[in-house]
Amino acid sequence: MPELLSADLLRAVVDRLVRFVEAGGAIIIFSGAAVSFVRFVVMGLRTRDPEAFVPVRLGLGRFLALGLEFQLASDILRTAVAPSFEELGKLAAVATIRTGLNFFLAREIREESRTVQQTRDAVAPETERA
Amino acid sequence: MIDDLAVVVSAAGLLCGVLAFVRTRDAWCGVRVLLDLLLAAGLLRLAATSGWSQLAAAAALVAVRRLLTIALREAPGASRNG
Repeated sequence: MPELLSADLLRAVVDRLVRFVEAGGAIIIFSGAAVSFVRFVVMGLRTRDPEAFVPVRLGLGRFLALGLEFQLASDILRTAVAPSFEELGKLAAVATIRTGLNFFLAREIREESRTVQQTRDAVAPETERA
Repeated sequence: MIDDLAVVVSAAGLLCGVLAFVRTRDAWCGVRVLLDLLLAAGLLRLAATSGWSQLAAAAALVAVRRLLTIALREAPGASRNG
């Protein structure tokens, strides 16, 4: 029976896809760092209030979480063609690190967002009163 | 190439951390900014790892940064924001 999709072809296609998705993740992380760098510098020159840096840090965290999602997607794609136990082990280690990081990053973003919202809620009535 | 980008992001983190500290006079704020950008550099480096030792080094760096962030957040006297 003729093979519809040879193993070599599948490997080549998945390899390309993995590189494409992983590059996407790296581009997102680097773009987030670059955008945040500019915003940190602008904020640093404009204000002396430490709280002004929190929204910028939240934005960077969101970029990092999105980049991690892309990298996790590439890990999942890679499992389709991981041939050896060694490669599979490395893949599992990287995926575990990225999943753990993604979890903690998401939790931190949630906590910081809540703190920012509470601060805004506390400031709003005072402003209305004034 | 990704390693070079990671170095650039690390340098940017150092610069922003110092700037945040100098402008706000809040060491915690400077350290948080530095750690966030160093985490971005660590994630970039993690994307370029190939061997077990490189992987372990990248993972250890990321873990140390996360632990430091949590330790500083829980430290007495640390402000919640910034």
